Amino acid sequence: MPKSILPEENTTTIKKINFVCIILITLIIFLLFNFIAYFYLNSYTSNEGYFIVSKKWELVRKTKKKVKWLIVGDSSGNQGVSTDMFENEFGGDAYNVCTLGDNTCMIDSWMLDYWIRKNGAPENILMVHVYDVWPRSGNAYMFSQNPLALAFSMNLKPEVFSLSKKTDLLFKKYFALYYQNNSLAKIIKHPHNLFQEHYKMEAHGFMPHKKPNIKNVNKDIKGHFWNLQNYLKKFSMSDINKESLLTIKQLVEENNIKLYIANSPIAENLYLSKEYQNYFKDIETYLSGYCNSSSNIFYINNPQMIFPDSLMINADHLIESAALIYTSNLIDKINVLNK
Amino acid sequence: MLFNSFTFVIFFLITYSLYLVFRKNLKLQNILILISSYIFYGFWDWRFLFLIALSTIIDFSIGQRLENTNDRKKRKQLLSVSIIANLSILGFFKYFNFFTHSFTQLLHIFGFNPDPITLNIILPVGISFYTFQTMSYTIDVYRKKLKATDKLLNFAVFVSFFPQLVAGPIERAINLLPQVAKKRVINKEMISAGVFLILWGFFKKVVIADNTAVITNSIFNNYSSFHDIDLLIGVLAFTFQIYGDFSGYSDIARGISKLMGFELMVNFRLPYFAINPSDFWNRWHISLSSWLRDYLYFPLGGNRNGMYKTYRNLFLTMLLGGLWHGAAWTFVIWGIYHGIILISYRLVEHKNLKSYSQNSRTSSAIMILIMFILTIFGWLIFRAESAEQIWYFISNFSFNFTSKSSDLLYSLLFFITPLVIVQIFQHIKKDLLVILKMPDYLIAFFYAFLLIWITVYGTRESTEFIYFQF
Repeated sequence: MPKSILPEENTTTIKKINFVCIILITLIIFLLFNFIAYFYLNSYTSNEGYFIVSKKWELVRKTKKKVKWLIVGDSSGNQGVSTDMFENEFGGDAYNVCTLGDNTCMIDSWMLDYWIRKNGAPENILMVHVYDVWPRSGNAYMFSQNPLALAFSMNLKPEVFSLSKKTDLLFKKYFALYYQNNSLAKIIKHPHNLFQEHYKMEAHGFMPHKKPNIKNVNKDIKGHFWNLQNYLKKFSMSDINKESLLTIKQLVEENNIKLYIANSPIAENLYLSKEYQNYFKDIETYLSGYCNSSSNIFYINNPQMIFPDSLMINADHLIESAALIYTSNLIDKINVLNK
Repeated sequence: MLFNSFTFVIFFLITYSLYLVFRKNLKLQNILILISSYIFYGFWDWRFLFLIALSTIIDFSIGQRLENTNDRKKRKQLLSVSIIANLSILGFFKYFNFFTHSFTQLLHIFGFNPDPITLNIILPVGISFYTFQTMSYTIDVYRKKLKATDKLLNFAVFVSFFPQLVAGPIERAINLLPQVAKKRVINKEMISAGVFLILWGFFKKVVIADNTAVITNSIFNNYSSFHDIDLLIGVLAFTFQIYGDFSGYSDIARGISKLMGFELMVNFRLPYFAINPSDFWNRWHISLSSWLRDYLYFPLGGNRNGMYKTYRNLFLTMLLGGLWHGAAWTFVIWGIYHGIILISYRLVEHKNLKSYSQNSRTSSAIMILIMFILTIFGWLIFRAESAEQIWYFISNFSFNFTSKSSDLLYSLLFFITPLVIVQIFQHIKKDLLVILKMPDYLIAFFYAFLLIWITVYGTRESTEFIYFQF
C-alpha cells in the first residue's frame, strides 16, 4: 500500500534585502504590465464605448485644419450623421466627433474648446443628443476615457471637476488593469484576438452600423419606458450639461460659429407614447429657450425624426441606410433655417 | 466584513499600523485585537456580538472553576454545562428550523398534520467555528491538558481573533492561547511566508473560486438543460470552487496572522492528492477533522474496541461532521457518504491491499485518481439541492461532448491550471512553501502574476466565502 507523506510548510531564511527586492520587482512588473495594458487597450479595446471615445479624440488631436462642420454629441450622432453628405452638400470638411451619452455635453464643450485653440473655429457645429442625455450627470468610467491629462493641463472649459474627482478620474484612466479588467480578461482568455481591431470608423469619424436588431430595439424601448415611469419622471437639465451649454454658447458667440442643435433619431413606438411626449415637451421648451437666447444658435426640431424598428439597432441608434435618411433630413432643415 | 473587500483592506491597514505602534505593550496589542475583532464581526451584524461575548464569558468562568476544583463529579458537571450551553446556542441558531421542519415532515408520514414551528432565525456568521473553538478550550482544561487562563482579555482574544473568527482554522487553545499571552515576535521569515499566503489565498478565492463559481452556478442552477460531460464539468468546477474558496480563506487568515506574529495551524495540505479517505481527512479542513477526531471519535472509543465499534465510531463522526457543515439533509448524506467510503477503504485495506506494491509511483497515481473521483462525487452530494438533482447528474452523465462543452471546459481549465501546476510542484517537493525556495526573480514574477490576475479576474462585487454559512 503506498504511503502518503503529508506536505509541510518548511520556512526558509530570507535576507531583508532579498525580501525588499522581491516586493519591488513585483510592483515594477505589475506597473509595467499595467502600462502595457493601457497602451494596448488604447488601440485594441474590445469595449466599443471606449473605442469611440479614444478614436474620436485621436481624430480631434490629429486633425490640423479649419473645418466647415464639426459634429458633436453622443453615439446616436456617431452612427447617425454621415460626414460625406455634409461635405457634398455644403462643401469643405465635416468631422463627426460624437462620442457617448455618458460623456454628457461637457465633452462636446471640451472638444470645441480644444479645436478652436488648435485649429481655429469651425464655421458650423451640429450637436446631436438623445433626449435622456440632458438630465445625465455623466459617468466617471466614460469621462476617464477622455485625454484627461491634456484637458486638465489646458484647463479645457468647463472646469467642473474638483481635485478629488480629478484624482479619481486619473486613476480610472491609468489603472487599466483594474478599471478595464473586462476587456483585458477577454483578451488574456482568448489571445488569438490579441491584435484584432474590433470596430471600424470612417476617416472623418462616422461609424455606420449595418444590421438592424429589432429584438434589441423592443427591449430598449421597454427600458426607456421603465426609466420614464420610474426614474426620469420630470425633466431637469443636469448641472454639468447646463454649465457646458453656457460654455458652448460663449464659445460660439466669441468665435461667430453657427450652432445647430438636433434631437437624435428615435424609434416610432417610443416617440408615440404619452410618457415620452410629456417628457420631451419640457426638453423642447428648455432647448428652444436656450437657442432663442443667442442669434448664433438654432434648434432643429419640428418634428423629431422617427424611424421604424427595422431600421434601428436600439431605440435611438440607426443602421446606415436610415442614417443617410436622417442626415439628409437634417441637411434639409439646416438649409431651411439658413434661408 | 469580507477579506476580499476594500473595507477590510482599510480596516487591516489601520489595525496593523496601530498593532506595530503598540509592539512594546502586549496588553495594548491584545486590547487592540479584541476591539478590532469585535468591529470586524460587528460589520456583519453587531447584534450577534453578544453571542460571542456570552460564549467567552461562559467558557472563561467554567475554565476558572475547573482549574480550581479536583472533584471529579463537579468537574464533569462543569464540563456538561459548557457543552450544553455551547451546543444549545449552536443548535438553536443553526439547526432549530431544520429539526422542526424534518420532525413535522416525519409526522406527516404517520398521518399527523401539526402546524410547523418555524422561527425567522438568522444564522450568525462563523458560529460553528468559534463554538467549537471555545468548546475545545473547556474540554482541554477538563482533561488537564491545558491550564485555564486567568485573564479574561487573553481568553476573549483567543475566542474572537479576527483573522480566523468566521471561517477558521478552528484553533486549539493549546496552540493559540499561549501566543496571545506572550509577546509576539514578527520576523522576516514570517512576513515573507505571510505575504505569500495572503497573495496565494486571494488568488485562490477571487480568481479560482469566484470564477469557477460562475461555471458551477450556471450548471447546478439550471441543471436540466445540461447533460453528458457538461455535468461532470459542473461538478469539477465546484470541486475547485470549494477548495479555492475555503483554503483561500484559510491561507489569508494564516498569512494575516503571520504578519501579526501568530502561527495558526495548517488547514489544508493538498487534499486532492490524497490516496484514501483517511488521508483526505488529514489534508482537508484539518482543524475540523482533527477536532472531530480528538473530541468525538476518541471519546467514542476510537479504534480501541474492535472492528465493529471502530466502524460505528467512524460513521458517527463523519455523520456529525456532515451535519456541522449545514442544516440540510444533503450535508448529512455527504457525511454518511464519507463515513461509508472511510469504512469501505478500511475493509479493503484489511483484506487485500497488504500485498499491493509498496511506494510505487503508478499505484500512488492510481490511488490519487480513485480518491479524487470519490471526492468529486462527494462534492456533487454536497452541492446538490435535492436527491433528484443528484440522480439527474448520475443518470444523465456520459463522456460525450455537447455544443457547450468546449467553452465550459476551456473556462474551467483556464482558471484552474495555475493552481494545478503549483500544487503538483508542492506535492512533488512535499513542501507547501516551495515557491519561496525559488530564485528571487522567479518569486517576484510569480507574485506579479498573482497580482495581475487578482486585479484582472478578481470579481468586483465581493462574494461571501462559502464556509461563512457553516
